[in-house]
Amino acid sequence: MSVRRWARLPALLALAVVALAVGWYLDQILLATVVGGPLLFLALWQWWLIPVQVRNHQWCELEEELVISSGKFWRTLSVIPYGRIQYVDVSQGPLERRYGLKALKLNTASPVGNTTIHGLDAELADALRERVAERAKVKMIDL
Amino acid sequence: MTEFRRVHPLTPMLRGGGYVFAIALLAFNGMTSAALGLFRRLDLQVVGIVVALVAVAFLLSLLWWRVTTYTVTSTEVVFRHGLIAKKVRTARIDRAQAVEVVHPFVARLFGLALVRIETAGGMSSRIDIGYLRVSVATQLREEILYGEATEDPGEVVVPAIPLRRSLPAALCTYSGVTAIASTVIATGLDFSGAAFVPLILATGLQVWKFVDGAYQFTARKVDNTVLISYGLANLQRKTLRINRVHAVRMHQPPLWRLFGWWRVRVSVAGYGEGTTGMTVLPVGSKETATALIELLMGTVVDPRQPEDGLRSPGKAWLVSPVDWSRQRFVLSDTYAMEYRGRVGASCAVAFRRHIQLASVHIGPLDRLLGLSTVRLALVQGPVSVQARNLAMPQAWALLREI
Repeated sequence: MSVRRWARLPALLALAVVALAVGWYLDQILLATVVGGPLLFLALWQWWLIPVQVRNHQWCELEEELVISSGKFWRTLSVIPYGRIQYVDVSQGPLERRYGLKALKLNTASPVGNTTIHGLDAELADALRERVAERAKVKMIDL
Repeated sequence: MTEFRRVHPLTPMLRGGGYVFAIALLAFNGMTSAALGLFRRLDLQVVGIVVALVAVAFLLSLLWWRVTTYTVTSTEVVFRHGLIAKKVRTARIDRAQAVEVVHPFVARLFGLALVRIETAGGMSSRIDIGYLRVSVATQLREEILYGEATEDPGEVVVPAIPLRRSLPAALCTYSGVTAIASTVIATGLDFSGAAFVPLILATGLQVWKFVDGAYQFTARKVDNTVLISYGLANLQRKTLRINRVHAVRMHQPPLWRLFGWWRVRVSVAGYGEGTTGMTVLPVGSKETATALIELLMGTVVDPRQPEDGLRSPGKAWLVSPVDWSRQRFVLSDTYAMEYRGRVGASCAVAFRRHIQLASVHIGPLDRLLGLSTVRLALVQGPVSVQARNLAMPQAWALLREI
């Protein structure tokens, strides 16, 4: 959660502050409100939205399939049978490394579908990858 | 069968197309200045350099050609090339998703073609063998597909599509109508007509693509494969293995209703370049389309909407104002089918065993109305199967069933 907050918010907040500051310096209230206002609003909106999204981002390991849910306004729930998983990606960006997190992506033969679990603790991500890969191997279904 | 065969000697020239052209231009330039009697030392130097370049290029391409070979065994196709870094590409024949003969424009001028072997696994997972003489290429494709060359013409499933059908069909698609409308408006307006040029170009290109893809389109069934050939500028031949078909979509743009025409596309594993995927019928009658689907999927599909099956509840008109009462979803033991469309019409059929994953999507408006859409993910291709705007309990029941 903190990763996404820190990844998205500072940029937005900084931009908003810069816009407001420039507007104030040039004594142009219009510029400050038109540019800075929406950015500030977006930042506050994200401040509220991200924790809610994180709360809704869940996964559940069932006997035959893995279920991933995400989203606040546009909710999705994906059911991925283990046997359909072609390969599993584990990724870690610089900010994620700082906080010891990893993202796990389950790739099927289909390009669509929301199949990524973000912000897992590193050890948990690796353990989950092992488990999923093992089950995928056992239950492999041909294309 | 296992001897190494060489590609056509013109291959290096065609592969290196641009460079050859540049050198030729340079040479031509040098020659003309020389011929004009401008025998200055500089020109002679230029001519000398060009001659040397041509000689080196010729020698290199000769060497390159000598090491470019291919072999077909009963289990695999091997393509070797590369002068300094030797590259060997092998494809197991039983893993080949499609084998086709491609005729690029320049090669076609020389009567040459490529044999393209598609394997599942991303963009660069194909082997292009070539260039070869067209007859050799056709023979090679059949050799790869059937173990040995056959002359079986097969059973015609789609007879050649005449231009008098494909051209009006192209003009009756959205792009066609936009192209015509924008041309008319642009010529009607004295000023600012130029603003429409990009639009005309873009939509005109779509129309051209359609006509090109439907020109002399024929499909024949040979054993377990469907052979497709078409093309105005680039003659293409494609081979579709029936048991590799995951899903088909039969579709009718609004204006095609006047003529009763349909289009059929399929999703095949490893053939997902672009969303156009593989078209097995660019434009044809309903009978041809249904016969084709029966051949590919083993079931008769009537594009008219069935009475049974899942449908959107009445309040769905808020999210899907036009189609809400014309959306049906049917799940049988083997198939998942989606019917939709009031103005145009579309019907998608997928094998249940090829569904990769299922997901439920609920937007903000959907949540207020208690609606949700169930998407069934298939391999990359033109077909998508969704149960749109179902009432919440229906959606959960469907998900559980899948």
